[in-house]
Amino acid sequence: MSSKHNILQSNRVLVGFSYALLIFCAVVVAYPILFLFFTSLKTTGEFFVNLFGFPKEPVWSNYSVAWSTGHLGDYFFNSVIVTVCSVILTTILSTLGGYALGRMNLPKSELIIMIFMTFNFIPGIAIYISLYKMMASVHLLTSYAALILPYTAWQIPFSMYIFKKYFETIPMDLIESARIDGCSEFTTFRKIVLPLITPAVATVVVFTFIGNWGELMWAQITTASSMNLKTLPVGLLNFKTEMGVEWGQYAAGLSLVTLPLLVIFGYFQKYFVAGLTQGAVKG
Amino acid sequence: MAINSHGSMKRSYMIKGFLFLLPASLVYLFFAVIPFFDNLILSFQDWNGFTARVFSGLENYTNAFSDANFLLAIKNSVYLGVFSSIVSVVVGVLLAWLLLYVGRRSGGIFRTILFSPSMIPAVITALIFSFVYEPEIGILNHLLQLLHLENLQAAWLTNKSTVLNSILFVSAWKQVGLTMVLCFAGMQAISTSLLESARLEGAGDWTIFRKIILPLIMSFVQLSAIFALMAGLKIYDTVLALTNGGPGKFSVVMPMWIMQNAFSFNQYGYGAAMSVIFVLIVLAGMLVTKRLIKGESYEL
Repeated sequence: MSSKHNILQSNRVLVGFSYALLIFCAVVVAYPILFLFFTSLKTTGEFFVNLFGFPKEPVWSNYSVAWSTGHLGDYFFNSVIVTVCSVILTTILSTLGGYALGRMNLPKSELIIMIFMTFNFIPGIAIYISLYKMMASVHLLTSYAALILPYTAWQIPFSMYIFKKYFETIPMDLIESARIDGCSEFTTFRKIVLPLITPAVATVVVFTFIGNWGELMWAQITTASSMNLKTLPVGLLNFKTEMGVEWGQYAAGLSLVTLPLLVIFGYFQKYFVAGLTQGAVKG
Repeated sequence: MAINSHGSMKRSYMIKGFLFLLPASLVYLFFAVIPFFDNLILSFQDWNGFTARVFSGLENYTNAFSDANFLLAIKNSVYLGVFSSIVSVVVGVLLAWLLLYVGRRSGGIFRTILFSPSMIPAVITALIFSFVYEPEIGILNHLLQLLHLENLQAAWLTNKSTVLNSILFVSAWKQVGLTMVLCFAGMQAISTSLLESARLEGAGDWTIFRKIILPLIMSFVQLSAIFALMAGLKIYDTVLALTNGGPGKFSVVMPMWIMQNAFSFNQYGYGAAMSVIFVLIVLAGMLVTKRLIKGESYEL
C-alpha cells in the first residue's frame, strides 16, 4: 500500500515549491537562535565587524563571565527548585484526579472537567491581584511556596484532562478484575493502572515543565520584594542592564538558558505534541 | 440482592472517587477559584492595598472606559490576538500541507526546527529579537543593507508605524510551528485510501487540499486558532521584553496596564475591574472563534 506522501508527491513542481518554502521558513526560525549562539562566542570587537557569521576564534570565556556576573547561577537554582517541585506536585494531584474522573464512576465527570478547563482560559492577571494579597496576609510571599503552590494549581486542569482522557483508554475489565481480586482502590491504581500511563505522564511533565519554567508575570509580582527568589525569566529581564554593552557575554547568558532546553525538548517533542493533540480530539 | 450490592459497591467507588479528586480540587480552589471570585468582588471596590476595602459601585468600570491608555491597551491586545491567530493559522496550515510533499526524513527535521520556538520561554525569544530589531547593530537592518533595501530600514521598536507589527511578527514566529504540528497531526489521521481514490478520479492537489484535507482537519484548525488567539490576547512577556509598552504608551497591552495600575499605582480595585473586562474579552474571543471555525468531527 502506498503512503499519503507517495500519492501526493507525484506533483514535482509542488514538491520543489514545498522544499523551497519550508527551507526558507526553517531559516527564518532557526537563524535568530543560531545568531544568538554565534554571538555568544564573539568578543564585542568581533561582533561589530562580523555580525552574521560564525566567530573566527570562539571565546568560550563569555559563558563563565555571564554565569558569574549575571547571577545566572542563583536564578537557575531558583527556577529548578520551583519548576521541579511544582511539576511533581501537579503530576501527582492530577493523576489521582484524572483517575477519579475517568475510571471511578463519578457523576458529572464531564461537567467537572469542563469547569476546570473553562477556568483554565481565564487570564492570570484576573487571579494574581487577589492571590497576591491573600498570600501576603498569610506570609507566604517570602518562600518558594509562593511560586510552587500556585504553579502546581494552575497546571492542574490541563494535566487532569490529559490523564482523564488517557485513563479512559484503559479497559474497565482490567480495573474491575483487580477490584474483584480484593485490591484496594489505591493498590489497583498503583499496581495496575499507573504502569500503563507512562506516555501520559511524560506528556504532562514536559507540558507543565515548559509552562512553569518560562512563567514571568506571577514570578515578577511575587519576587518584586524578595530578590532572592527571582527565577530565570525575571532575572533575564534585568540581565541586559547588568551586562551593559558586552553583547557576547549577554548572548552567552541567553544561550545558556536556551540551548539545554532545545536539546532536552527536541528529544521529548513528540510527547509535547501528543499532549496538545489530545486536546484537539475533543475539539 | 445482587443489584443492591452492586449499587452499594458503585457508591463506595464514588466516595473513593471524590477522595481521589479532592486534593487537586482543593489546591485549585485556593489558588485559582477563590482569588478569581475575590477579584470579582474587588472590582466593585476601592482599595489601595492597605486600608479597608470600600464598595464604590461601578466607579472602577466607568473609569476604565474613560481611561485612554486602557482603551489603547484593549485595541493593541485585540489587534495582536486577531492577527497573530490569522497569520499563524494561514501559514501553519499551509506549511503542514506542504509537509506532505517532502520526504519523511526532511519533514521530521522541518517540524523539529519550526516547532523549536514553542519550547523557549517567551522572555527569551523576545530578548533574542531585541538583537534582530536593534536599529544600529540589529541583524534586520544589516540584512536590508546587504540587500540594498536601505529605504526599508527602520527603528523597528521605537517607531509608531512599525512597533506593533514587529511584536506581531515575534508572536507569529513563535506560534506558527505549533499550529503546523497540530494540523499536521490532523492530516496524519486522514485515511490514505481517501486521497488515493481522489487522485485516481483526477483531482488536482489544490482540490484535494480544499475539498478533503481542509474539511477533515477543521477541529485542529479551530484548536490552533484558539491557542493563537489566547496567546495573542494575553501577550505580556514578549511586549515587556521588547518595548515595555513603548514608545510612550503606544504598544501597551492589557495585562501590562492592569499590572501597573494594581502593583505600581496601588489601585487594586481599578486593576481588578480592568481584569474582569479582560476576562470578558478573552471569553468573547474564544466563543467567536468557535463560531467562525466550525470544528465538526468526521468519521476518519
